[in-house]
Amino acid sequence: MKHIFIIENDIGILEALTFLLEKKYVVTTISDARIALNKLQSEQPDLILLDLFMPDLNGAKFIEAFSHRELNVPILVMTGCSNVNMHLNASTVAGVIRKPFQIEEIETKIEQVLAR
Amino acid sequence: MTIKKSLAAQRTKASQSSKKFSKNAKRKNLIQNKNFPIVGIGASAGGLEAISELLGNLPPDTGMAFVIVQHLDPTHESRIDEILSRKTLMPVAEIKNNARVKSGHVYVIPPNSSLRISHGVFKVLPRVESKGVHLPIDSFFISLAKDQESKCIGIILSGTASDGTYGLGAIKMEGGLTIAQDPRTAKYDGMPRSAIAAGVVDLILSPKQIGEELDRIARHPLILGEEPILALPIHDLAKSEVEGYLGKILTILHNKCHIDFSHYKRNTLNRRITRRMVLKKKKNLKEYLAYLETNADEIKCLYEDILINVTEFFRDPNAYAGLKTQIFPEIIKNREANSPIRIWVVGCSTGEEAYSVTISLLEFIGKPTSIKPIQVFATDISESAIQKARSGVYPESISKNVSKERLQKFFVKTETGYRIKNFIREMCLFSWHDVTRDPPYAKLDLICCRNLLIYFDQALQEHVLPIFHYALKSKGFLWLGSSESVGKLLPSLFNLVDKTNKFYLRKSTPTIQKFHFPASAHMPEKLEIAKKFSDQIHGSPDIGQETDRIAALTYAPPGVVINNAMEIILIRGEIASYLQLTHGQASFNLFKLAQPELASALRMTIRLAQKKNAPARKDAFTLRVGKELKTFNIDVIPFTFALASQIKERYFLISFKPILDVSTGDLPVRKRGKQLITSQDQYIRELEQEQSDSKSYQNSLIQDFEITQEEFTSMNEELQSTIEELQSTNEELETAKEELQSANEELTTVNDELQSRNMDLSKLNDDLVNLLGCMDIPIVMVDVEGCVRRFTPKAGKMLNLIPSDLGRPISDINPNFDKLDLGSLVSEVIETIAIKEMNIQDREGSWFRLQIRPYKTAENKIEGAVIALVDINLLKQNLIKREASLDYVTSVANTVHFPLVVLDRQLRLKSANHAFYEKFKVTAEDEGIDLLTLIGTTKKVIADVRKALMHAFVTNVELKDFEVKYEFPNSKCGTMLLNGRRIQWIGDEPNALLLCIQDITDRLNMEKSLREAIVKWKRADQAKDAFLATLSHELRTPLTVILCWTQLLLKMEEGSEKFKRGLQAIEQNSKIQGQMIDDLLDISRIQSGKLVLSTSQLDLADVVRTTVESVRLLAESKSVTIKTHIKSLNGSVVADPARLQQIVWNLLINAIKFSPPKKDIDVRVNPVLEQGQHFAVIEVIDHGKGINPNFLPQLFERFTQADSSTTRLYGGLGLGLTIANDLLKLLGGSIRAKSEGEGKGATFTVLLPLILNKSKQKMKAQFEEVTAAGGTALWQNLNGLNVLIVEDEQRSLDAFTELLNFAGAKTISVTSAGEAMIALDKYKPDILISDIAMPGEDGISLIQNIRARKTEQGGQIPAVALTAYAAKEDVTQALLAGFNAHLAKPFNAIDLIVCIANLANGRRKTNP
Repeated sequence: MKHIFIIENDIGILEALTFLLEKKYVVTTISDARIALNKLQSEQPDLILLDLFMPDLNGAKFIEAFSHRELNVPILVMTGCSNVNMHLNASTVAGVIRKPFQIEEIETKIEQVLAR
Repeated sequence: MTIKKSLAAQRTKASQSSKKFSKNAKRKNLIQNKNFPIVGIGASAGGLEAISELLGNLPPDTGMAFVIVQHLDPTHESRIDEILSRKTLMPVAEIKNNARVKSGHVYVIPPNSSLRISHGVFKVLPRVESKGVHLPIDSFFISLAKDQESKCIGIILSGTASDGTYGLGAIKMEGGLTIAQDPRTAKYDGMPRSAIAAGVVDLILSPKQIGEELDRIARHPLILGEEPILALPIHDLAKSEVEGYLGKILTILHNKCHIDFSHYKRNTLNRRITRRMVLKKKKNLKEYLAYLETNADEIKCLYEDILINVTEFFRDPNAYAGLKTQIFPEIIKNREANSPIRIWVVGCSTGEEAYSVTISLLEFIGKPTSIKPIQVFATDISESAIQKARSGVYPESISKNVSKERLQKFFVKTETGYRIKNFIREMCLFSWHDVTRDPPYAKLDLICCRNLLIYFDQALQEHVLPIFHYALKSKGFLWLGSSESVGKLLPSLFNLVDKTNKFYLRKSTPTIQKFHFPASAHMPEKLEIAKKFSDQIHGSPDIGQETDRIAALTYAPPGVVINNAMEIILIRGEIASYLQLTHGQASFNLFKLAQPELASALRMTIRLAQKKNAPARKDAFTLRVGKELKTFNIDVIPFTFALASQIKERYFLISFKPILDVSTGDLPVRKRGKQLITSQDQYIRELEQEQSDSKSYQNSLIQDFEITQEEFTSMNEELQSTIEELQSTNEELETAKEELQSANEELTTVNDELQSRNMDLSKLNDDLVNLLGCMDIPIVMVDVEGCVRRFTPKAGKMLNLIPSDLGRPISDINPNFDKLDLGSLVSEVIETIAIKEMNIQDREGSWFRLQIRPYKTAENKIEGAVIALVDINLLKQNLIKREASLDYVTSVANTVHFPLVVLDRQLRLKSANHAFYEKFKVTAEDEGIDLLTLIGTTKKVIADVRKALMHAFVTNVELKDFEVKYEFPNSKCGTMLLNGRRIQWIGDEPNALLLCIQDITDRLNMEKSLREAIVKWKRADQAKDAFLATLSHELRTPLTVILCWTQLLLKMEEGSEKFKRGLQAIEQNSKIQGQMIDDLLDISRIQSGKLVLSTSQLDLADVVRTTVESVRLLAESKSVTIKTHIKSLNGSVVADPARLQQIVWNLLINAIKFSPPKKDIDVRVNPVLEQGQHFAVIEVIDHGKGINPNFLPQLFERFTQADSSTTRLYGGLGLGLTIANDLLKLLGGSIRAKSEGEGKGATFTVLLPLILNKSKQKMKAQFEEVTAAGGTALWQNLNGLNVLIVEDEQRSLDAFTELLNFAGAKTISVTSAGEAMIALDKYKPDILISDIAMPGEDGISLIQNIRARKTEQGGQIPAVALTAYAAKEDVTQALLAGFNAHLAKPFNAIDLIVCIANLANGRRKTNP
């Protein structure tokens, strides 16, 4: 089973995504990007689902920090913002999912990225 | 004397050369001529060109020497000789001192020197300046003339001024030729013109022609080594022949010019005639005489030539000095009171001498008026010289002889020289007068006859001197020239007074010689008429007379005609038988010629005829003639006849008629025969009888004779005394006649003068008439009575004048002008002697300038007035136009808002527009004030501005956007922009500076605030972007959850745990979303001012408690305890309960959010007194993460939360604090946050105005009372309160005033911030109510200014802001600026009252 980190500060979304994905993947939910960075030192998921808009360390800063690690982990960015362009050209960003999203959309995207 | 010497020299030279000539008569080489002429060439500016041309046209073999006197730069070496040597083959050299002149050479004067010539040797002297003028040409020419006499030629070429004029005169006088360059060909025509004008020039030619003419002259026989004096044989003419021709020439001159030159010195005459011959190219006298006879002009030229006289001002200055010291004092001393000083200048030539004497005399007298009549008679026989003297105009070069002072005092400077001043001119009478022939002037004090006698021969001199003697007063003086004297023959007439100066005093001996002057000698017309008349009388005797004469000779008896004196004056026929010459002195006396018997018979008969005055006869008188007896009748016929003299005299015709022998002769014979026949006795008796008859006759005769003799003796005695008487009478008459002649001469002179003046006057009159005629200005002259005297043609048209109006009063004239009373105007002008001027309009509306001036005569008498009308219509129209445009410009200037000002060179105010006066608080009366005192106070500013303005003034460069920081005395600072340019201005200073002053303080402030606003806006924009991003995120997040769960739920089984969880999540997120939308709407409403608060008085404690309960569950879920500490407020707050709850809820939610588990949250409610105001305070204190102090100030700003990205466990937009803040402001409260730093928790404090129970109740009651009673009760809180109301809108102001007055407060109403400041000082109000939005200084600025004051100056006065719009910022701004409270318009009365009452309360408590 593939391992997915879900980094999202909204509990509602975390719950819903866990519920959706835990059947197919090993899901680790992290509500704080700082913790996620720590965690990534010890384990490497196959995919990271990342919310861009977070308090403390937001998604963009996470990507920046993550890029420095040169971990070949694809990131799928989730965002509610209409104009997402910051740092998304980073090679690790595999795709963008706009909130609110359809379940099928996120499932397909995850499958596509993992299939690469 | 010099003349004589040089004459001698001339002769020797001439004789030498004539010897040479005889040796080699046909010689062609002119250079060999030893007696060559020297040609002086004078030139100045532009002369080099002329000299070059002259030399270029001159063959090198003329045999003349050329001396060029060119004005040269004294400091530079001259190269003129080099230049000229290229032009001629003759050697050219600069003159060396003591060099001898050689023929065929050209000499050039060295620079900075004066040149003389003496005996043909040059003398180079250092430059001589005579009275500051260097006249090298004059000085050389004069020495040349002296040295060479007629053997020189003077040429004047181009040049300025008049150097050379006198030199040419000297040459001409000595008989030399004078030539001037034709002024038309001269580059500078001053010198030639001057010489020509002086009449000393023979030929006027171009330089080329001069060259050719010189060549020609050089070949003239008279020049070619001949002795110029005509007395020597010339061209086969014998000396006697020469004399004959000369005599003829003199006769011609005598006839044509009425001057007998025969007694003039022959040398002079010869020289002059030779000169003319050379000039006219005549080879000998015969030719010249022929030419002279046919050419009247030449006669005149010769005449003028002979008379040419060189004279100059103050010639021989020493003599003039002597005149002043020796002569004039004597004259003044001997002068009878009021008798004129009379001076006669004989041979005055062109007048210099006469003027010099007059000037000397005036200088001696001092004041010209002290001795009034000064009569200077100046006479000459040259008409042209007299003309020149009369004009009194002299060339500039007279400054050589006339001192500067004299020039200034007695001369007027003209373009070409000097003119004698009129007062001198008027003292001198110039007249044509021949001293040798015309009667002299009489009773003269001084006769000045200098250098005239030298031209006269001895005889003429002796003729003239007695005339002078006669003409002088008994102590009169004669002044002769230096080389003249009264001669040896006539020392009896004059005493020598001064030998050097030649002053003579008249001796009082009687004039030795009687002289007779033909009347009117110089009046040729009269002579001619008289001649014609006599021709008519004596011409063509007719045949009748001739016949009479023959008949008389044939048939009339012989006889004689005697005059009254018994002298025979005519003899007719053969009278030898009757009258015979006898021994003794020859006599024509009839009685002496007759035989004694006949004489007695004649005497008796003549006496008879005399007595009867009728013919008388003696019959048959017998006379023994030789041996025969003749018997004849004697007839005496008296008659009168005018012979020679005009007086008729008595004459007697005496005829002897013989009685024929046959008839008459026989009687005595017969008698005798009878006697012989009768007797001897008879004969004796007869004889005795006859004897006794004779005796008795004899006796009677003797008696008669004796008687007669006695009669004769007495008669003789009578006659003798009569003769004595007659003689004395005659003498008197002679004297009288002479005096009359003198007087007549004077009168003639005066008449001459008058005539020439008359000419001047008529010319002047012509000028005046022409001037008036061509003048386009209507001018009318009226006399004292106001009658028209003269008017111009234009005046005729303009004032309806016709020639017949002359002499009519001007008031009778109906001019083309309405309401113009010319008559009274004229009389006013005449009375007041003041010029009257006015602008008038004719009936057609054209404008004229009427000018009436008094008519002043030369004696300053008013003799009428001059009316002039000048058409100023165009001017006036232009003026109107100009005024209109000026008005336009002024209006523009006054309409613009920018202060405009015109400054003079001292930067003083000349003019300014209204904006300027308003801005700088000056008026038009402040003109002349220094602008710099108006615009700034610091010296630096003033200096800078002055520099900039002066720069613009001086360089005429526009002053552009010059910024000036100013500071007014009322402590207002700002910035001005100066723009200026130089302009033309009317008045004494033509230039002025137009300055536009723009106060850009407001603009700069605006720019500044704009910049700030932009920064702010940019920040806000960024914040907004961030907020929108947040908003998007925050709104989508719950939506995502809802959507996710909804989809999941659809696939799930109902009722499972997960399903439940999903539904919960959906619910929760929906609520969050709802809350967020509410918040957004709130924000939106607050921002747009649409939030409606339904306020009521609340118990704050209740609200807090309720809210705390509502979040207690949430707190517990986070293990947080909320502790409430509520104190009694003893009052209530006015608020919207729901909103108040919202505020508190927000604070609590935040506190819970940020509180870590197991930490308490404290909620306190306290009453508090802040700045004299009661507040209810809610404090929410957490011990959570705290707030970054940097962030604190922005805590309550909109959209700022996103930046901080504060961790929200509970989501939301983070607008809670903003909303709380905004709401509180609307409620009249405030919120503030406090944190010691991150991790140290935070305290949020809410303040709400507290209405204390007591006042609340009272107010409520009073309000109700007011309402109930319709406004009669008073509100205690406001009673006596001094309220200052600032409101620009009058209606609102009135409403507030009414309301507050009604409430018992005193009000001070003002409409601007400025007035408010003044009122603040003046009235010291208790409360201030101010509108925010006001024109000019607004409420914010006002309160800032007030708060900047000290407390005792009202700096802490409670203040309420009134705003028309309740935007949060405005409210905040107002409160931040210093207002204590804020009321949004429209507000109801109670709000205002309550608000003021609250503030007043606080004040009263702090300031009891």
